[in-house]
Amino acid sequence: MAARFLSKSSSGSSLLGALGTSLVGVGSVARQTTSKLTYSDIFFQQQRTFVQMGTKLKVVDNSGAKRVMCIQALKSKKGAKLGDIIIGSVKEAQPRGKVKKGDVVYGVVVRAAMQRGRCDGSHVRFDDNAVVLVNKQGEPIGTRVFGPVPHELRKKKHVKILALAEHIA
Amino acid sequence: MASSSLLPHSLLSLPTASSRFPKSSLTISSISFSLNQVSITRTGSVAFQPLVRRGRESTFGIARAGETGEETPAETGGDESTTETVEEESSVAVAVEEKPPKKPIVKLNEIIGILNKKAIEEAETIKVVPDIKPGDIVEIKKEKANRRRLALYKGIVISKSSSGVHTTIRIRYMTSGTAVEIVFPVYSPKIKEIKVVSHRDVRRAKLYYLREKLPRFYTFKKK
Repeated sequence: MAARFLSKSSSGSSLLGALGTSLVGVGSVARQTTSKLTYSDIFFQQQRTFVQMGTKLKVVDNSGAKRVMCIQALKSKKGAKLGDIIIGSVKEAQPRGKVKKGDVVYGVVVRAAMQRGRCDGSHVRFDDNAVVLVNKQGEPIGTRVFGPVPHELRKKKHVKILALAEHIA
Repeated sequence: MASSSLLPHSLLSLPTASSRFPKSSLTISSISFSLNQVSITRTGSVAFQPLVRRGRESTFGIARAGETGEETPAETGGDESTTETVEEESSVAVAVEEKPPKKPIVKLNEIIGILNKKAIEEAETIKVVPDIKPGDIVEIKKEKANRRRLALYKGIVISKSSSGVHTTIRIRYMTSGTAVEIVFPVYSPKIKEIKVVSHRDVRRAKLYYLREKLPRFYTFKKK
């Protein structure tokens, strides 16, 4: 298993026009392994890009779904960033939940591996892609949210998710 | 008039810090450099010529006709003996009336450095920015958008990007099972306090390898 050497992609300039992840075919790496970084790992650099059609995201509320695949990023042709809403299809769900496998749901991206700039010059990025399922009005389906959420949700008027969150990054 | 047979190379020997004023009408009054050519004009009277810039000196003084008289006794003696070295003739005799000394000329390539210094000085009044290196474990207090309590971030500095007033540090920390990386502009007025809590010995300037490592390397308890 080759370790993925993540390159720090500056938001904007290095991602212009690069819609897909420019990844040489490497299987997914378990996050927690400590593998020795060899010289060949440098070639497995990955550009973090938008959440777009086909992106699998983790669901971090207790709505019942586990994983969701993005089928449409609303609002932008390039893809969704931190704080945007996506339409997804539930790929994996818990047996007794509010949603089941195959449902088409709306979700708010609460954690993204692509960094998002804030107006004070800071940038924030998380280590995984995560989503909170909402209904069409923007209210969360579940009643709990796990993990940190960013400030950006306040501007996007997802105040309820912020209220349920464990930690606001 | 002291005549000196000037060799081309001797013209390029510059004096040290002190800028000399040219003699009034004893020797070569001005030498103007243009690219590789050197043209020497000898004039008996005071002449005005454009100021020539040098890379080394940052301050220039325009020669005053009145002052040269005081310097000449000391310098003529020296000049006669050292005909090889030519005084720096870039500061030129001007017209008869005295002008106040010109302010130091700011070169174009220094402007950004000066502006950055000014901006950093302004930012330092809000808080004192300590010397941060990658591997430091740092606590940052930042003002939030709604201006209530200060948000506290504690993490390890994995990279520092220096560029004047937009020097940024990238902090990595772990909360609630997920790792977060935030880039902070160090001189931002929103950041109220930066404190280096401890330091970890690292042999890199950028610690991106921490992303592949176990989370315990970037997990820190707050308080």
